[in-house]
Amino acid sequence: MKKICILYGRLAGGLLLSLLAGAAQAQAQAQPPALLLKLDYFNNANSVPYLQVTATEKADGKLEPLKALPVQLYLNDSVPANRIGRVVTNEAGKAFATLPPSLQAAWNAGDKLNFIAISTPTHSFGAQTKIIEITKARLILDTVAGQDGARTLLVTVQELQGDSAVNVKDVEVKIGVQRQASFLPIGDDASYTTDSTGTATATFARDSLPGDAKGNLVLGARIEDNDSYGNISVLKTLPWGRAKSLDHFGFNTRSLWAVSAKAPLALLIIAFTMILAVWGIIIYLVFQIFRIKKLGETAPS
Amino acid sequence: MEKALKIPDEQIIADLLPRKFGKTGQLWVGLLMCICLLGVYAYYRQLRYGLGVTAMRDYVSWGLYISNFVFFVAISLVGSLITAILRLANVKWSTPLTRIAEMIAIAAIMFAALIIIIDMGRPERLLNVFVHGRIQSPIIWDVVVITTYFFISFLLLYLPLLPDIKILLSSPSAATRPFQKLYRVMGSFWKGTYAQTLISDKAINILCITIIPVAFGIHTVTSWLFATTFRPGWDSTNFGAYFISGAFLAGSGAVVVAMFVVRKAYQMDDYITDDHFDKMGKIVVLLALVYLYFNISEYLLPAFKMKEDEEAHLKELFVGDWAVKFWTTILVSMILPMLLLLFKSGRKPLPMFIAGIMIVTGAWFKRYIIVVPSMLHPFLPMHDVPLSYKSYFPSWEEWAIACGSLAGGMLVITLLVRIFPIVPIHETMVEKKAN
Repeated sequence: MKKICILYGRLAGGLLLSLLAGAAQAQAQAQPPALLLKLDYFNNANSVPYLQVTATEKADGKLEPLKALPVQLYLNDSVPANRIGRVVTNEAGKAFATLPPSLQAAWNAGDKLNFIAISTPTHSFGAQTKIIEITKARLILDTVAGQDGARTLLVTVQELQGDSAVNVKDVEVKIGVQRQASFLPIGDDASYTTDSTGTATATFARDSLPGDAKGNLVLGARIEDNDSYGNISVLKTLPWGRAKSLDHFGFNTRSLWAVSAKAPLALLIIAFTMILAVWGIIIYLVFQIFRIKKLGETAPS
Repeated sequence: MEKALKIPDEQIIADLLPRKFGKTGQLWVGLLMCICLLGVYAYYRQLRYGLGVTAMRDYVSWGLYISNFVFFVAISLVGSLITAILRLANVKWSTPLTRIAEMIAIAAIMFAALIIIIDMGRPERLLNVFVHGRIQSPIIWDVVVITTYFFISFLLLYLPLLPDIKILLSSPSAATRPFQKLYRVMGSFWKGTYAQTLISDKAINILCITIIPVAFGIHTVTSWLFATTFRPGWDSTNFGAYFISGAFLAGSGAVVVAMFVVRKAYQMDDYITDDHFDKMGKIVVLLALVYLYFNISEYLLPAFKMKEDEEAHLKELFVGDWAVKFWTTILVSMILPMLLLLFKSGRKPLPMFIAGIMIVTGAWFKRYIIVVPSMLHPFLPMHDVPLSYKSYFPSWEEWAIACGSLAGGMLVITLLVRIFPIVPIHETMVEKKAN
């Protein structure tokens, strides 16, 4: 009897769990798709600051980029005078905008700026607003020679306050080397935090890293997704790498895979001998046709 | 030809002068022109919308066009076989076939070059091939050798034509009257003097000797376009000989078809005789055997070893999706014609014509089978490859362009037959006198 009770109990438990799971699934399926709007500020070294809008659709528990979503961007206030522009998200659900010159006065007016993104209502989603507050800041990258030839990078984070700048402590900074497709940390740590003087110190530990023909590397520092400063980066070219031979693959020596001017001599001699021989014969035969023609013109009809 | 030997010269001239197209001829030309126009329209679409209108994708980037190119190159070899090799071997019976062979060679090589330009996504960049071409690349070797072969074939058509042009000028008929100006430009200077004949004969002999290595070169280099590429089915040291033997067979098949059509259309039974068919039949059997030998060598050895990289490709051909096409092609292009032509009754004109059609059609499909299945099985397959890359069936634009090029080739041959004597008149008369 006891066993039967246990069995019934287990069955009832299983049934209850199935019902709960089914209900949860049905609830998830029943939920309408949601729009997730993200706004990011980028201030990369030597380039114009820009805004990035990312639109993502959440449906059936999956996140998919939302393309062709129109979004209005404003600076400080969502009035026409402060309109940065209208952007439309691409295949990856992203759209980009730089600040127009007409907003230069508004940009210069304050150290803290509000960026506003308002998505245009569509048949699937209503209008959505996203606001980020950014404090103007900059990164300063410097180098210092240490003992025993050690090379050190000093990265200082500064907040801009009017015409002056104040060093900021406890900001996480990534310091690395800009490679073709990645940002390679210069040491064992991927990121560093500024100290009480607003400076992060990192030792360069990648001595044999291939650089350009002169051994130059592009080193950089980044603040990523910071609540106050957004995304800031700075780059500096330094001769800390290994000089890389431009002819790494032997393109500059005579080979089958080299450029046309560097074809193997043997191949050139054989190919051009054959070409000249055959075309010499063709030219000779054309000359013979002219001889036949000349003979025909002088021969009595 | 035996009967022709008994025919007076005047009759030979009257028989062999170009003739106007009849109703069938006009219909034939009209049909070919329609197909060509459709091809031109399809090419316009390709230029307008890019190579995206084709079914070619990252896997099969050499599709119908390159198969067609290899087919044209193969057909063009016939000029060197019939004209050069048989002439140098002092084979007299081939005289009536030399011009047909040369016309086919000229038309084929023209369209081989054209189809390569069509295959280029940006044809306006063709000049870059010459300006920035690398001598290390087999593609440049192919460009050089195709151009050279075209000029040699042209000279080999033109020089033996000079005595016939004199006849065309001296015996104007209603059919040749529209072309008298062309004949004058081409050969009014030919007087048939001893000195002219001596130079001409010497030049033809030099051409015959020169065209053989160049013809071998064009087929070897075309085969190397494949063999120098890392692909299953192409990674072979045998490819040059394999392609040359296939080209000889395809070209001979084309000549047999042309012989039958010309004989039928122009009632040339006295000049292109059953004996010619019989002898060509024997040559075709020999060539089919040689090509079959190379096919066995080409497929049996890799199949015996069944290397991992080749396995998928070979299994697809032998027992997979391509099996029906593969075995049918082998059967139709080699085995059936060979069996048919082994018997004397099979070497009569009509069976020969059927065998010729089988050989030419089979040769076209053979090139398709050489090109496409290999492209579908790269040594380094891509990850997450789109479905459209995994199979290939040409789009209607590709079919229209390919058919347009084939029709164009036949149109060139048809027009050459309309303008010039298809059987050399002068040589026929000389041989009659010599006998």
